[in-house]
Amino acid sequence: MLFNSFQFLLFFPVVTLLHFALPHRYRWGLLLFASCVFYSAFIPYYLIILLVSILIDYYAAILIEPSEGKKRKTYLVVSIISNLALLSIFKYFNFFTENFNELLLWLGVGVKPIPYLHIILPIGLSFHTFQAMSYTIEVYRRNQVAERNFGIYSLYVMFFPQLVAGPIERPQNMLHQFYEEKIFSSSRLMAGLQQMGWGLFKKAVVADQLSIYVNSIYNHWELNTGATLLFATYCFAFQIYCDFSGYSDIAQGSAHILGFRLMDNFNLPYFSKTVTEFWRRWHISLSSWLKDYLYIPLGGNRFGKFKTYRNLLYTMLLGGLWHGASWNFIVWGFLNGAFLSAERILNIKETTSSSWPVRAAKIFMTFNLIALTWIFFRSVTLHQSIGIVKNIFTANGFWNLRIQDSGIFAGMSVAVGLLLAIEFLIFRKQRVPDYFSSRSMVQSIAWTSFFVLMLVLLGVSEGDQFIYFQF
Amino acid sequence: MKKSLVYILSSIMLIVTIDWALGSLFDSLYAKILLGQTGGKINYYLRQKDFSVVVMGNSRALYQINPDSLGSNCFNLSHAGMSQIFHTGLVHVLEQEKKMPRLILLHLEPEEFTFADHGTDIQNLKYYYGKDSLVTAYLRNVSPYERFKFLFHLYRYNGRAASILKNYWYSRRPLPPTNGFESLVATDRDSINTFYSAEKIEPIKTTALNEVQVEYLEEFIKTCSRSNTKLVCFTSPLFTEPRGLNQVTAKLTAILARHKVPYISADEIDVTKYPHRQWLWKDAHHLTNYGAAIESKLLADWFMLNHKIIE
Repeated sequence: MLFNSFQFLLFFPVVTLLHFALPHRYRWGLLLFASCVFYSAFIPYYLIILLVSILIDYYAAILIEPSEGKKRKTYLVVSIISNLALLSIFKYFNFFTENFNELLLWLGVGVKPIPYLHIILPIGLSFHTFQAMSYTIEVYRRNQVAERNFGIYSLYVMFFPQLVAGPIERPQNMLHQFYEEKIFSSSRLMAGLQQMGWGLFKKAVVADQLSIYVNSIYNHWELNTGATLLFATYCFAFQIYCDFSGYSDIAQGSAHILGFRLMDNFNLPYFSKTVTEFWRRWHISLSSWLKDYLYIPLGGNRFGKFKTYRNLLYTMLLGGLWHGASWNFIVWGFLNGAFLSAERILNIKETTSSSWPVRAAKIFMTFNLIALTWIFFRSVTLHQSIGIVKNIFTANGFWNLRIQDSGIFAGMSVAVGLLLAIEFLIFRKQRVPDYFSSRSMVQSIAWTSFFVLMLVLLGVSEGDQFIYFQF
Repeated sequence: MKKSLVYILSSIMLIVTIDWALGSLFDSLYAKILLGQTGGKINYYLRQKDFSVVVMGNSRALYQINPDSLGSNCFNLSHAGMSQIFHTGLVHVLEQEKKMPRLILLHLEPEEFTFADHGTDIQNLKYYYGKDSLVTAYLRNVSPYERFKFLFHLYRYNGRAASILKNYWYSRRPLPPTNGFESLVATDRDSINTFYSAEKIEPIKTTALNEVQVEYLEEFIKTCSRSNTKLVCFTSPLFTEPRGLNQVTAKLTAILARHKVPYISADEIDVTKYPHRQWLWKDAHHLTNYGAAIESKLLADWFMLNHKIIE
């Protein structure tokens, strides 16, 4: 079920009303059932895959907890391999098959190519797999006791606000919340609805409008020259930010209404002055996951400069692969890793003391570096990415800017202008949930009405699904 | 709980009030715009004296048929990017407004008739929701929830607020008269664009016509017959024809013949027979201003030769 759909508009109030009407001991059951309904709206039988993953990790954690030494490690490895196996089959099998077949062809080995699997990737697989993995790892590290209630553990993996596109939660933050009795709060309702409105504004008004322009340019990239491709790439930078952070805001807002606290996933990433800072502000739940479960176990920055750079590259390459099985995502991860390493080598830091023109220049520079990586993220093939980069850096016909439909162009300019104004004037000073929680009744009514009317007037009514669902 | 109710009810009241106020403002602005694809061109047409010939279709009709070549009282009412459902809705609006011409020249895109239609192009006529019965019915078919969206008055202007404001600004001063035709000026990059876009043309996936698309066309024909408007359909040439297009065109021609609607195929107005071929194409689908002049002339020639068919 999409957050920007009419089904959700009916689903969420019903779940909220029932949640607070039922006695506390039945609420997890309701939320679990609601989460199943929410996930079934995509492809129902993929619930079975989720169930298999849940069963493995549930029992693995129970076995890990009392075990010691080699046995303890074996249970963890079994759990991790099972999760990675699921990811490999659904996400990476066809990618490796394709490359293996091409390698055989290139070597001239005359064997029958390995057939592809004709399966659809379960929605949000990478999100809930990583969330499940963090649970068994934390139990292994003795930071979390194994959950005995199968229903509660299932809910930890399946909690509908963050099931398909995160934030990728940690068990220490979530599991105890399912045991706490939630009391209905008007302030939470007001703050949650405003944050949901802000998320929907970012998705339906900004991201979906930008996507019309970006698609029209990227789908016919050969026909376009420098300034057009650069501008479309800038637009994609805002599209993906609003699409994904919009989802996170709706997730956080809806969970807040139900009485749950989800972690922040974005913190104004395009105001970053370095790529390192960008990665502290972009998809925070994934970058912290990669840091805690990959970068630090690899040695982090503890074993000299060379190994630090290597670890950064490995981490970002895996981050790229997490997004999808294609060379584009690998290059995307590599570029980000290379930028992070380069900043360490050149000792570039996000100092706050410099004057505003210097800060603005740094922000612009960082935005351009990130935009360069987005070319690889958005393109369908490596050939397309390289072609776009080449065209951007070709002087011939560079200034031939195509704006396509002037109405859509005007609409997206208004939308991005409003986004930047609100972020710069308000959210730069205060976290989104904190800002909406501290509004008076009149201000809350004004914000809610503003978001609803913006959606009606500027929102794309037949909008796309969220980009990150495919991961 | 009481606080929540006050918050929800007050928000609804404020939304309803602003929706009404802004909706009324946009109503008055919309009625005054006379240019652009968001309704201005339709308004312009409706305000003019009656035209005898009207060209309708997508970008290939808009940028390629200069109505002046067909006579002095002709207008090009084509809208770029629009499929058959839009033209059917629009012709119904013309009928309702009693602005049907004597002859309509409808551009058909045969390949489009093989696609499943989601009806989304009719959303460009949202202004006529509740004003035109066919447009209203089509809009309600877009999704089961569409009628709820129209509870908001402002939804009629969804996605077009900025362009309405922009077009209103330009419509304040008297505009020079127009015949609705817009040309694509030839540039040095056109041959590259033509080459790349021709490479992307794929064979037709299915040659079976989509029933819903055919129904839209038949509804268009019915509207014309009700108003005694003569209808002639035509298709512009492509730089490279996709494999299977001939079969689709043949099926479409049979339907038109059943309804006694003359059809001018792309072969009959084949601009590629003319010299200076490299300057004719903007891309593999569209002609430049040079190509448009030739196509318009070929179309006029066809009418000279076949005036008895259309009388």
